[in-house]
Amino acid sequence: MSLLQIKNLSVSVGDEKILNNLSLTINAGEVHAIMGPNGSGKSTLSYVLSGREGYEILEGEIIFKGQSILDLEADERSRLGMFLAFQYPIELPGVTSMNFLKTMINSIRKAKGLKDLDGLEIVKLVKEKSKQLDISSDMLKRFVNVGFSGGEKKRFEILQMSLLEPELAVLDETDSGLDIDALRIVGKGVTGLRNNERSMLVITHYQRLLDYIVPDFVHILANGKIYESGGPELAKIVEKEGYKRYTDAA
Amino acid sequence: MRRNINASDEFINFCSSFNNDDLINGWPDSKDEYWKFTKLQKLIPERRLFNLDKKAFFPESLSEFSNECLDKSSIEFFTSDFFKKNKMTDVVFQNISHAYKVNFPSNFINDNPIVIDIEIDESSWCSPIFLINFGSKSKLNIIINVSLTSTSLFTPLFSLNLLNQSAVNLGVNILNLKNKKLNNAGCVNLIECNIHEHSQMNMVLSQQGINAARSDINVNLLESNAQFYFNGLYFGRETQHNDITTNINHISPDCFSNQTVRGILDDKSVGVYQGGIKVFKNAQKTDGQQMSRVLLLSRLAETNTKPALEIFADDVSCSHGATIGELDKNQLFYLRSRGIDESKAKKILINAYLNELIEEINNLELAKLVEQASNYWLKQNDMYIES
Repeated sequence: MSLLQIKNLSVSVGDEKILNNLSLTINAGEVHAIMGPNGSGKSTLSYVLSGREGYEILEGEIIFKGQSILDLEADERSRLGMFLAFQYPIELPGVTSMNFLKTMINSIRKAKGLKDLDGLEIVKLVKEKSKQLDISSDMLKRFVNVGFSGGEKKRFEILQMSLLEPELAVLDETDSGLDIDALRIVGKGVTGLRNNERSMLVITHYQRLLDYIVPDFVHILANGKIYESGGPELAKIVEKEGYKRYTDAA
Repeated sequence: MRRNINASDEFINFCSSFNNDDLINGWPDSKDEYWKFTKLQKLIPERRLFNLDKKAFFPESLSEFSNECLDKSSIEFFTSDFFKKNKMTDVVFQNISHAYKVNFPSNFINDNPIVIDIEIDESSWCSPIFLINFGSKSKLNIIINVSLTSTSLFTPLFSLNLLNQSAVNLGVNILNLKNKKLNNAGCVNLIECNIHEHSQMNMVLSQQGINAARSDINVNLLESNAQFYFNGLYFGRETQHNDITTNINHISPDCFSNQTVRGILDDKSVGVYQGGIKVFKNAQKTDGQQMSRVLLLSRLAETNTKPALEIFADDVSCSHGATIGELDKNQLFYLRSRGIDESKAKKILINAYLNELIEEINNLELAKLVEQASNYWLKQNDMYIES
């Protein structure tokens, strides 16, 4: 059974239709990349999947782990195993990173029927995972995303993903704002989290992230629908030729 | 036991000469512009329903500094423009429950805070007059904890005088220990602060759980390099009404003032901040800042913010600003996208709002006071999160 099925999804924000009869199926363990020009609906797709308010579902269905999730709140979807790595991670002044991670981890553990981890156990777990992502202990003492550089914010997103161990991770332009070194660290971090059960939906403008996270499938999104699907080679073609032929087709 | 009123006959006679027929139910009339947002006569019962408090609360730690009584020479401190214009002064003069003069000598330094605990019983009215002088080069921390019940009244007059090169950290924590849902508690503070050359007052004030609470603060930056820092905080729920009204007079050049008032309002509660800065003609190089930040937790809560800047000098830096908002939707979504349910996510953000304030306060004792006040409110409202 597929992990995620998006069936004929049409979504609007205000009067504007952003997604237009979009369908996509992701099986367990697969990595799909969605590429597309600005304004094609990539971020809308990630927000609609994760349950952000403000989007009107005109028609269609999203089935995750065999259940319709359109009526579920963002936190319920997260507890079901969905994770969104934000394009622009939100700053939380006054919330220390370690406390945030602790609350997050224990919320997910509770949903899985596991007992809470205590402060020490959390610190140990976070430190272990942080090391692989080159996240300093100083960063964890700061407020969530406050004063973080672009690279630090994205690494912190991937740290959260590695701690929550979601079944589906949606990575919304995780490469934006990253220099080459940060891109390598993040790419390596994400690749390290790949396994047979975990699926990923990687949303990006550029092919360069896909050098580090090699996808099984690439889809081209333009004007709210998927125009073409293929293997990793499709990303290389788009990199060379641009999105013009898709946007013109619309 | 100490006498509750330590004042000379001249002082007492001066006070009892006050009689104001313009008061409504015993309180200033809200037709007066100054009381427009806080209709005391509607918010608290007639004053005759309260019994004047006879309990002594004077702390032993202050005894050695309070040998002098309020005498003829003290009168001038309570006949300043601020006290004269404020109709509450008349009310207090007619109903003094306590009167003390405190002198901290020059060079007096005390790191441990001097704590004054004032507990007011049910149906009691405590209306003390305090004249506190801080000698030159004195440095100290004072914490005043005021605990009311749901039917008590607190209306103090404070005249605080900082002589040259003194530094005072003052924390005032006002709360209702019997936080019943319906209450008639009232609190109206009148505080005047005269700051002389190179002296600094760092004041934190928190008010919560009172049906009608108003703090009127008037600061005179009398000589150069006088500084005043103020962090005001109020919490409102049900129909509680909180008002913080300040006026900072920059009278001399090179003085500094910074005021931040934060409020959290739930249910149908109301918050008021009237923030005044007056820069006198002579007060060049004034730096005067003020900010209001209000968090509304309910659609029925109301806040009134009125900045009033009067500037008569031409080389000054003054600013005012106000933010009024609900919990940030993006922040809520971020937390919820991590599996944290809505109620917990809201609590996290409310705790965060207060944590940020605590971080901003650079004095340990004052930061502690805000933390205590915040935690008290969070616990009362089942919002506290262990950090």
